[in-house]
Amino acid sequence: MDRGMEKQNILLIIVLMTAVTAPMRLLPVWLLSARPIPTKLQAWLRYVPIAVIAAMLLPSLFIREDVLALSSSNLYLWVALPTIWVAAKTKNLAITVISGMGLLALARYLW
Amino acid sequence: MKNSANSSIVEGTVAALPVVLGYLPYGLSFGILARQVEMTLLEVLLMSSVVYAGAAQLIVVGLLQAGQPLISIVATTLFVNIRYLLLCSAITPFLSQWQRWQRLLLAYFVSDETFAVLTSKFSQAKASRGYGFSVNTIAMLGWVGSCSLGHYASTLIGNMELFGLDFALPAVFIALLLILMRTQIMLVVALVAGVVALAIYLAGLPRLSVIVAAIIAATVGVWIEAWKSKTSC
Repeated sequence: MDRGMEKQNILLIIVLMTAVTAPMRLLPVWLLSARPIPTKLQAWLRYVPIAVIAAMLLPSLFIREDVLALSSSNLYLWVALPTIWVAAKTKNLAITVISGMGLLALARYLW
Repeated sequence: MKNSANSSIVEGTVAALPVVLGYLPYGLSFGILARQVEMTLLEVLLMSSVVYAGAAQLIVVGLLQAGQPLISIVATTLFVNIRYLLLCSAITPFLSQWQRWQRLLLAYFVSDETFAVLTSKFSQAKASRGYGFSVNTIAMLGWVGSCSLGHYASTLIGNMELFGLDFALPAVFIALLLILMRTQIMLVVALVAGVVALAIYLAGLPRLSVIVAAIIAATVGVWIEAWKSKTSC
């Protein structure tokens, strides 16, 4: 299985991201109005960011070297739990990221 | 006339400062993560000024780190950024006195945060160009600046495992998830997305895991929503 870790062409990515983002901002203003988005589609789009983020997050916590890693040596998984707690309590990006990184550094130091 | 234009520029600049403060942690995170996927400072500058979309940028860095294909990156950006259609449609009625190029320029740099600042002002007073463009300019500079600062700062730190920096991406995603999560259905959507992505990954298709899992989970969310509203009445 090709993991496809070849370096992606970032400039191409920027061009394509712009190509799908700019029209979203410019079209309504250009036309002075826009067709309303169907409510079903709106509902679907509301769930997309959460779905994408969770779909990236879980494999990054549970999988090490392409296999499921539930052992105590998978520090990412065990550090994630208190980090989730901090995020739920504070709803703050900076505090969550700093405590997550700090906990991992601490866990490595203690191990 | 000149004076009122000046004062609206000052007013817009002041109104944008809290927005810049709000951007700072996201921009710093983006810059640090961009460096981890080997983006150059120039690429960071380009992406944050031309695409100018915080959530999409953070997600794309994650997709790059996870080795997801180009099509997933483009499709996800589209899905995440369609909301600008709504924001910019909502801001358009305020700009009817503006020339077209001015409207387009303002719309290009609308973000969730500047949208909130601009519409709350424009719904109280006549939409001033000085106010609109100063809010957008300061906010945009704040975003580009904090992204670049994050990139620069992370070049000063050689070893990624030091300070647990390799956990920055999972930690950013944990924070984003819990900040975005407002309903129980969203919790279900996140769990479905995560479990499906794990299953697809372990089935040997890691490159499809994110996009397929996200599409399935968002669809499940809409189903539950429809089912709930049907049973409640």
